[in-house]
Amino acid sequence: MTGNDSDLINAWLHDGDERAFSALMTRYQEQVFYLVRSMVLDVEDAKDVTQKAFIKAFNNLKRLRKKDNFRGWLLKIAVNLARDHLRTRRKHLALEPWTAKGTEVTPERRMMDREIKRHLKEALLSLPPRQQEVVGLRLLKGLSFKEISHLLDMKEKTARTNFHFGLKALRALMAQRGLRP
Amino acid sequence: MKCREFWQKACTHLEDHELERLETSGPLKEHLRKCKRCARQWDGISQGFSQLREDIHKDMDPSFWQDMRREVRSQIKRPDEKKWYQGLFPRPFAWAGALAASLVALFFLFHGQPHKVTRFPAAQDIVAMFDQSDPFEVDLPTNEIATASPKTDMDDDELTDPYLLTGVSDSWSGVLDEAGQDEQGMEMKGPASKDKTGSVSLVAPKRA
Ligand SMILES: [Zn+2]
Repeated sequence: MTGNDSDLINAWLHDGDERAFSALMTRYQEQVFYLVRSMVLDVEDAKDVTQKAFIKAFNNLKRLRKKDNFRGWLLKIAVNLARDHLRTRRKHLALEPWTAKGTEVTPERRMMDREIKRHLKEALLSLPPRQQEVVGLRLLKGLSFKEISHLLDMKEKTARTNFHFGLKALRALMAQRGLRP
Repeated sequence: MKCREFWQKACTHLEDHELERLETSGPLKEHLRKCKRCARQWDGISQGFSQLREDIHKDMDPSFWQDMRREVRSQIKRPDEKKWYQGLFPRPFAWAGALAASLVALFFLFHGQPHKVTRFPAAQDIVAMFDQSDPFEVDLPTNEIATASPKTDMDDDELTDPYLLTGVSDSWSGVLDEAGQDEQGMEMKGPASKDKTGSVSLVAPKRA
């Protein structure tokens, strides 16, 4: 089923057209999923957050005044759910700080690819949420700071500052993890 | 170039370029050649991000998306059923149709059984009739939403300590309400499936 967002939304809202529902989901599920994944990193978590975002959006569709704005609205819902998810996750992480998990890394030892990836993932997740969000959206999703600032409701300057602090903290965490010479 | 300066510049560089592009930057590259420590840290970060990015944007199996649609569908309410009279008139004229039907009903109410009507109902009686549940009640659209709640943003003063940058204070109602005002806000270029790793622009998607 084709048509613009507004047509599909009306078909779903007024006629309960299942094809319209399916078309809207198909159109946006990958965008939402990959955006969320660049924030929460884990595939299952991203799937969960994506589903929640669609459920929230469809259940509140009547409240969306300008149906053509569905995409931006949906992405914002997704980003906010991802933030909620990270906040909750962070509470759990606080019990077991990332830096406490020491591994014996000798200067000679080169980290395997998988280890680098895992270390970076853990380091990213242990950053303060705003830093993690900005760093993830910039370096994993490739969004511009303008786009990031729209999505996260912060000034562009604030996004850049979070990015700087985030990278700095990341570097420190990675160094602690054995990237010292 | 000192290490501190290297990281400051590398960070600024990353603000505007992709990770890989650092290689093209002369003085930074030169520092990496000379300084083992920075080179290792940089490798760790750049390799780590490259791998992670690849990992994150891996294509998912079609069944993954199907499951997702099924799961979402199972958890959302079907839009409200239409009231019987809404189907009788084209949508933009539904209210007019309902009004006309009400007038016809009123006509028959007062004129259909002339022998039994002993007096014309008083104005307050007519009002009372409308107050009672009316089968021709017009179901007006309820798309209007409340005014936006104030946005929460971090004060720039808070930026002095990176470890204080944690709060996420947007409430759900705030998001839902403000969304209506976000028309000129972020609009990324579609289609998404082809845009997983690429840059995203502020251009509204065009569709046939
Ligand atoms: Zn150095």
